[in-house]
Amino acid sequence: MSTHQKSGKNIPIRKIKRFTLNNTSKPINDMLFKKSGFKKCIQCGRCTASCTAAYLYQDYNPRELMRKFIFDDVYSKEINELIWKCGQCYSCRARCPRNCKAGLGVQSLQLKSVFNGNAPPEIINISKQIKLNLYKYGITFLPSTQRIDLLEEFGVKTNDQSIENSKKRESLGFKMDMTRINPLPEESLQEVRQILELTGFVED
Amino acid sequence: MDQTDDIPNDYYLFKSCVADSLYPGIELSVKYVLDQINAGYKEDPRQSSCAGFGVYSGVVPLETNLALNARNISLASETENTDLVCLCSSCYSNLKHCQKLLSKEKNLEKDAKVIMKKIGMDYKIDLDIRHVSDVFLSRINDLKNTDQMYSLSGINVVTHHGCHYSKFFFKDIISGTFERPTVIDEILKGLGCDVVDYSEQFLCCGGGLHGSVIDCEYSRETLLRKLSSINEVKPDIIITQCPGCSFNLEHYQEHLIEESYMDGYIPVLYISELISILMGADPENLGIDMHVVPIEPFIRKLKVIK
Repeated sequence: MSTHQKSGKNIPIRKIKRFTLNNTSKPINDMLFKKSGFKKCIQCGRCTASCTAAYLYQDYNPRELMRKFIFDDVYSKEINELIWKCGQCYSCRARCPRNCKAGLGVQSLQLKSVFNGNAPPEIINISKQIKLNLYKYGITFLPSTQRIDLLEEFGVKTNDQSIENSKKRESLGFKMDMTRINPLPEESLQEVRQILELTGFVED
Repeated sequence: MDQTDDIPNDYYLFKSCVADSLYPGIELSVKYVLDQINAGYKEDPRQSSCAGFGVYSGVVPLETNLALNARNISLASETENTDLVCLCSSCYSNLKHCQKLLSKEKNLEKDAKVIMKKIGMDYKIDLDIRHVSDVFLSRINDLKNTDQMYSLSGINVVTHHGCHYSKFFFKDIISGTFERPTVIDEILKGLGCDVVDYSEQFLCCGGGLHGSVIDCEYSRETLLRKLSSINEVKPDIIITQCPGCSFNLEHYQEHLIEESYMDGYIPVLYISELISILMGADPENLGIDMHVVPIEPFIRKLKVIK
């Protein structure tokens, strides 16, 4: 080990291991991941100070996630769980002094997690539901897509206030479980279905 | 409803699947207000969902998102001099992001063009994408000049702008900054009411994807912060410009009142719902009575002008 003369003493200088961004073994070649801007990240932590999820979850930290993006350390089980804590509010993006978007990197990893079948079962289910909704109707979200148990989650009064809403919906000309009064014409549905098939977003 | 060719179609009204599923009154009241100010708009049943709910839940692949919205934006671009107008802040953010990626990334644009050709459609995506609250603010004088049944005098309002409106394309906010967007505030001030600040103005509505997909902890804890802060300034009403935000801000109130974080219910309305009530619309006819926090006590506070 090399030494440094100071005040008559020999002080060891540790060899610095240099990391370069070009040395990553398996860089993710994905547009959303690149658009997160992780290469510009200066690890200032403004994203974390602004993050709604970081306030709630001690282990969720967009600054640390961006560090992991830099070193291509994104294949662990831990990351696969952490990414589902992000609420996609993009407070990280608004306050970043370097114009980075940690939320986009997270979204990219979420998509990979779903694609590889590693996402939580609720997410896999909603993915199937959205594929089906888009294929059948050209619509992402139907009244029944909202799966929260109103009584359990919000309380008796809130649930009671909602009970008549299906009838009110119908009195306005909407069907109970169809989003629009006028559905997509058949020709448009065929176009949407072709898009879903060409881009692989259909149920097997 | 205007689907005729002889009335100028200034706006291509982009339908929101979240709004129409949770609060049909949002679209109905937007159209009511646009009719009152004689603004032309086009409704197009060919338009699909923008898929934003799935995009921000991490399940709709980029290629699918870009192709669906290349189609949607191209449909809107068929009419010259038309702005695409969104009712939902996630539609706004997602459509603008798709437009930006397609315009800047040649490979993505090339793929989308190939798909559009395969489905037999022309590719044209260079129109302006706006949020309906931008439209209302830009036409505030038209709004002020309509006959109004109620006055907002003496009413205290707090506002919440959707994160997907103000935080992703923050340079495009037409009033205020991402820290403190003031688009709805300026509309409301123009209509004569007092807008009150609160400490957690920047904080999200607690939606995230957790609220409806994985678990509700994110929503519960965030709404505790948000609504406690709103409760401190004792507003008469909370005004939003996003259907998802409206849903979260009103549905979590019951438990927070029971746990003494709030003194009582605070009604939540989307900006067009409030304006249409002021203009004399019957809330029941427009579906504005579908809110889980009753709005009648608020309407009783309004002073009748005529």
